[in-house]
Amino acid sequence: MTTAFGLLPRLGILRRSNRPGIQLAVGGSLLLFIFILALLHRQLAAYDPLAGDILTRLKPLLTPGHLLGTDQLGRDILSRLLFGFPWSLGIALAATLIAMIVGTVAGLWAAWVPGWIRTFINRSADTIIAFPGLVIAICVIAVIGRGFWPLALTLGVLTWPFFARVVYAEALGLLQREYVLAAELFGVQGWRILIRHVLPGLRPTLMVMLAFHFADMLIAESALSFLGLGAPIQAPTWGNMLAESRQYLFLAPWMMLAPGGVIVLVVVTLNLLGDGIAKLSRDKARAVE
Amino acid sequence: MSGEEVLSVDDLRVSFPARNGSGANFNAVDGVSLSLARGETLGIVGESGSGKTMLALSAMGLVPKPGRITSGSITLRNRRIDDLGERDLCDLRGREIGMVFQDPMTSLNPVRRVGALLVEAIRRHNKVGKDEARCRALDALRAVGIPSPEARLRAYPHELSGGLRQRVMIALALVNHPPVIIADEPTTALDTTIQAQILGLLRERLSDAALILITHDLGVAAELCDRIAVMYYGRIVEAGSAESILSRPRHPYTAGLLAAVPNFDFGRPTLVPIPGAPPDPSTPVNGCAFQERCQRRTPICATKPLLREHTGGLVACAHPAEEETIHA
Repeated sequence: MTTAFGLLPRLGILRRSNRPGIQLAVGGSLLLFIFILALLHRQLAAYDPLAGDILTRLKPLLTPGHLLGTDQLGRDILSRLLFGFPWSLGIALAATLIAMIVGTVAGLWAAWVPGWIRTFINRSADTIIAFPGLVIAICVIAVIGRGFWPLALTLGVLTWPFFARVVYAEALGLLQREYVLAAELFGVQGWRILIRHVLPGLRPTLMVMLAFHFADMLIAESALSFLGLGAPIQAPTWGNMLAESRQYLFLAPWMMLAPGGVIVLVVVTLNLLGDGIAKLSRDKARAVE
Repeated sequence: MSGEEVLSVDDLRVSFPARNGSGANFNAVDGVSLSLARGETLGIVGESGSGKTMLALSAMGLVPKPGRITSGSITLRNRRIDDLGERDLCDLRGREIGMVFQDPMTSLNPVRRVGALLVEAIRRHNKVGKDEARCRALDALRAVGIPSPEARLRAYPHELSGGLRQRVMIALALVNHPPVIIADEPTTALDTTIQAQILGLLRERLSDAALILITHDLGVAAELCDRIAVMYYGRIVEAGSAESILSRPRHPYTAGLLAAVPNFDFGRPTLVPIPGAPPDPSTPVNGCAFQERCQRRTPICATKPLLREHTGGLVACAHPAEEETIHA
């Protein structure tokens, strides 16, 4: 316990650090570690995540053969956790990419074309942000059912306005730059201006948003699964595991620790990366000017 | 200078809606005519806000919104371009007419390599592969005297000095060999020694292309131009050969500009500023735009003077300086 509490202030120092190198190094290696776990989950898991043995149900942490214990059906929690990587990270990543691509295209388009297209895109974004996301999520799940893609699509569609707004505001500024006019004067036109001359300037912003949004999507995915609106009920996503652990909170508190801990780990990793990239690009921009 | 005419602008007017929302328009370029022959260098001189840059941009079909060309015509190599669609205009830009900007730091995209910009400009107008475009990009950098061009292709603009950046800008403008180049204050952002190099480079590289040099530096204009047009309040107030304009200005504004150039010939600077300030381009002026600041002002100045022939040049003034008074 002392080590865990000793770690927290140190994490604080890491987050406030003005040297992006440390943040990027720690965040990057953690992310690499997480992705290796996600890729090798089949090889690393000792048990079938769905097959339980009722005789070994609710075993505590560090039980021989079950490092993180077992759940109410006797399924190995470590194995379920590992099989949760592709589910939880996959849904979060897919949702983030959908939001980023739709939002970037919409934002660039709105910045490029004044008039009704700009109004339409911006008002659509406002509408979606103003709408309670949970209501839409319930509707989608009710219509097309639970699953990987329904959840990823719903989260992506609900959150693209965050990208669209930032991209719109930044692109509007970049389009006023003289080098965009210069590119037009060399005969570059239309979408090429946006892709080749505006988009590269948005890269640092997009990378920072990607990291933070990924973390947000992971939390959203877990929350929706926790509420029974996410991945299929038997799928070993971290949100589902948390939801199941709720009933056994007093009987088997370790059931909650594992998925909760790994969600915190991934979110902290992504925040470190996002902070690091933001600081790095700011330092670089300062060095250029 | 003789030779075939490559660019002509006839009675061009570019209007903007007034900012006060009254629905009135003002003319940023007000009835400008000029023509340019092959191999010729025309200087356009004037203060900030006199419409020089707007004139250049409209010659490339890029009048910034909400401005628009309300009358007149622009002919590039016997082809009307003022009524062309955006698509055709884009095909012209860079191939038929190139432009060099004032500040190469803001006009080169900071997040793209020099090579990428050059290759893009080359491939926009030529059906060539990446390798061929790279070769041409190298040639273009060599032609503007950039040392170790292979390394510069991979450089970002901020890694280059101001002079090198402006050379890159010139390479970009020249890479597709357009017959007309517009250089908008190409040396203003550079220090004096680099200025001389860049001017020399422009002169050397433009043996057969026509150049419009926009500047407020009369020294630069004197060095490079065959003819000079002086702009004030969106109008050309005086035009003629560079030599006659600089030695015998007929318009009081030109004379004022020349007197305002610091002169260190005798060890002490003599500099006579023009009193007053130029009129706000968005407020209408009746008659001669310079009358408020003019010493030769008479009641006749309340009617707008037309550009007319006078002692070998063109001048828009009711009281142009006479030959005798200049020599006196």
